[in-house]
Amino acid sequence: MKHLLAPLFCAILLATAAQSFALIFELDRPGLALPKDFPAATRTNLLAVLQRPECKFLGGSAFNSNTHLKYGGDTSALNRFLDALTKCPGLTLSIRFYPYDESKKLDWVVDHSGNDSPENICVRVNLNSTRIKLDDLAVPDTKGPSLSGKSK
Amino acid sequence: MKALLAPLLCAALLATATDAFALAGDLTEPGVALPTGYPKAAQEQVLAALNRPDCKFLKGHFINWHTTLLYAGETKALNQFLDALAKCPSVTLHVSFTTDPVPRDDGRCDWFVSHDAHANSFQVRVNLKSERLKLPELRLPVVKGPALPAKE
Repeated sequence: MKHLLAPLFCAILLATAAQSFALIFELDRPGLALPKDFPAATRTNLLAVLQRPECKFLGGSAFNSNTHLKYGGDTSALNRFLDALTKCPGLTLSIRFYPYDESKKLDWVVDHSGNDSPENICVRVNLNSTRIKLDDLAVPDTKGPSLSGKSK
Repeated sequence: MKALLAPLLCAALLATATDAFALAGDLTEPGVALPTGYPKAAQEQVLAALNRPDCKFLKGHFINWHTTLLYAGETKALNQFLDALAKCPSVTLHVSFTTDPVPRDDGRCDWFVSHDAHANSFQVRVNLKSERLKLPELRLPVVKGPALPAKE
């Protein structure tokens, strides 16, 4: 029985290694991993928003279908960025806050998972940003469901 | 013609005075004026959202169809408050942040709500000087983009 232990151990290690294999790479321009059947109208609008010239792209990374994009800009740029995202058909926007390291000149990040919920996008505002003034942040309006029960 | 000026001026002043007449008062419990014809079930949903036991109502007042309500609570309570309001039929929810002193506050207010009955719109202003609220834990309701065009 003992002579089986080594090959079994190797097999387990290899199996684990194969499962944890992942593609990680740096992005030099904004982009997202979107499924092939992702609506073209949303894709076009979304990519245009991510590449707005007033929002300085500071780099990003992709891990499998998860994307992390870093941006620099002031509150006006962020407000227009958020507003433009809410105009993308079929998209759902979440806004969160996080104390990122300000020394990297990071003002907000975009997190996206192309696998789990490609229609959801999360913008995290850097609480340590010196350019973002929360008093002036224009959080887009949320609409309740319509009286007939259908969501607006 | 000059003889008509005095009575005309008086009439104009009286008309303005009538327009400026307002119904105002303080509130001892949370409540808002709701649009005529707003369904009873939806009214109850709004009242339930405003009367959550984890959100401590401090004070409130109204002027005509405008209501202001002051609350104290933790971040989790605010998250649930916002979520409950966002689920009320036909309402518009706007969230913003302020470092300005909250009107009529004695230093306990963590967020306050302004409501306009004509538009059935709620504005929740988060007090950035609150010591109870932790922005990294804040969960703003998601914002949905327009519906995707129907497939042919």
